[in-house]
Amino acid sequence: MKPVYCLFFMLFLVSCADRQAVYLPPLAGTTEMPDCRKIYPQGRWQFVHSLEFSLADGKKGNAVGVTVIDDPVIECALMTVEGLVLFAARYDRGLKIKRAIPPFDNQEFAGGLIRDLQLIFFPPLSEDIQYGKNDNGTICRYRQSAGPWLDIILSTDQGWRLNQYGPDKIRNRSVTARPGPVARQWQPPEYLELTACDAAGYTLKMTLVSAEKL
Amino acid sequence: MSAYVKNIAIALLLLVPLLTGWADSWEALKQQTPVIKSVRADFVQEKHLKILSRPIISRGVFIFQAPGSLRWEYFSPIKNILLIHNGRTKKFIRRDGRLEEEQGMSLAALQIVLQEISRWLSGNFTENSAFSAGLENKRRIIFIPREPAMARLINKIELQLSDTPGLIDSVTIYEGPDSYTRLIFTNARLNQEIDNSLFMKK
Repeated sequence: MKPVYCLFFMLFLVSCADRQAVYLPPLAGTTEMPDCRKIYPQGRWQFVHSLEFSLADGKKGNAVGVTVIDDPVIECALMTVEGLVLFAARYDRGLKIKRAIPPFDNQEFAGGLIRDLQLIFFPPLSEDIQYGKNDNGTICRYRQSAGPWLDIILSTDQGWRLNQYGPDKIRNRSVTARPGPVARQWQPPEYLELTACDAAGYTLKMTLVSAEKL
Repeated sequence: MSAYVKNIAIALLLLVPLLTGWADSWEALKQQTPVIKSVRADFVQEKHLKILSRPIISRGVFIFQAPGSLRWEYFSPIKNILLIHNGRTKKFIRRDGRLEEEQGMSLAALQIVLQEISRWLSGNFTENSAFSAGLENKRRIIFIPREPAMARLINKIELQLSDTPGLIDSVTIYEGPDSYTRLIFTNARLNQEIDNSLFMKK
C-alpha cells in the first residue's frame, strides 16, 4: 500500500478527540437576511480539482478529484496525478461504490467522502435558520435535524466559510472558499480548504482545475 | 501503485523507439532492435472517465537516457516530476506553490519495471512476468495482465506504433469499462545528447 494513499484514507478516519474544541459561538444580532444559499451551484455541474491534503503530523499527499453533482446526486472519482483511479462512487440517496483500490475499499471512507462533498456542494435541508454577523461577515445559522448546526458566513470579498458543529456544539468541519472571477452567473470557488476539527487537524486543499455546467 | 502504472507506460514508451521497420514477429522485432542511447518526447495525457463530459488533459515531457535514467514531468494541470538516476528515484509535486519532494514513496514497483526495461531494450517483449504481450498487425502491441490481482487494476495496455519506424503514437491503459488513460507522444527525438542534470534536479 503506497503511503501517500494511506494518508488520504486516514483523512476520513481521523479522530477529533485530541484536538482543542471550538464551540458554537453566540450570534450577534442583525437585521440583514442574506441569501446564503447563493453560494451553492444550481443544476448539474462537473468539477475537477487538484487535491492537497495534510495530516496533523505534517504528512502530505496529492491527488486529483472529479465530482459531478446534481443535488442530491453525487458522482465522484479520486485518482492519482498520473490518472489511476483509486476510488469511484455514485451517491443517489444510497451509495454505490464502482471502484475502490485498497485501502479505499471501505464504507467508512466512502461515507466520509460523500458527507464532505455534500457539505461543500449542497445547501442545508433545514428551514430552521437564524441570522447574525461577526467580524468576518454575515451569518446564516441552520439548525439541522438531530442537532448539527451549520454556519454559512458570507464575507465582503465574495468568499465564504462554512462551520459545521455537531450535536455537542463542537465544530467538526470548516470549509473556506476563495472566490473565482466576478461573473453574472454563479461561479465555483477557485480554491476550497476543508479542515476537520480545527486548524491543527487534517486539511484538504482543493484547487479548481476546471468547472463545467452540464 | 500509480507509479507502477505510470512506469509501465514509460517503459512501454521506451521500448518503441527500438522497433524499426515494424517487423511482424517477436523474433524479428528482437533482431531489428537497434542500440538506443536516449529518447526525448512531449506527451499529452488524456484521462477518460464515464462521468466526465470531456477528458482531463495533462501535458508534459519525458526524457530517457540509457541505461536507466528517466525524467517524467507534467507541466499542467498539476506540476509533477519523477526522476530516476543511478538507481535512485525521486518524485516532486507542487504544493502551496512550490515543488516539494514526496516522501515515503513506494519504490518496489518502480524497481520491478526498471528490470523489465532492460529486457525490452533488448527487444524481449514477451518475457514480462506481469503481462503477456500480443502483436496485433504490425503497429499494435497488446499487453494483458497475467494475474487476477493486476487485472483488477489494469485490464489491458495497448501500444499504438507510428507510421514512422522507431516512433510511437500512443499508449492506452484500460482500467475498466468506465476508465482509461491515453498517452499521446509527439516531437520524439532519439539519441540526442542529454545533460545528466535533468535526471537529478527538479
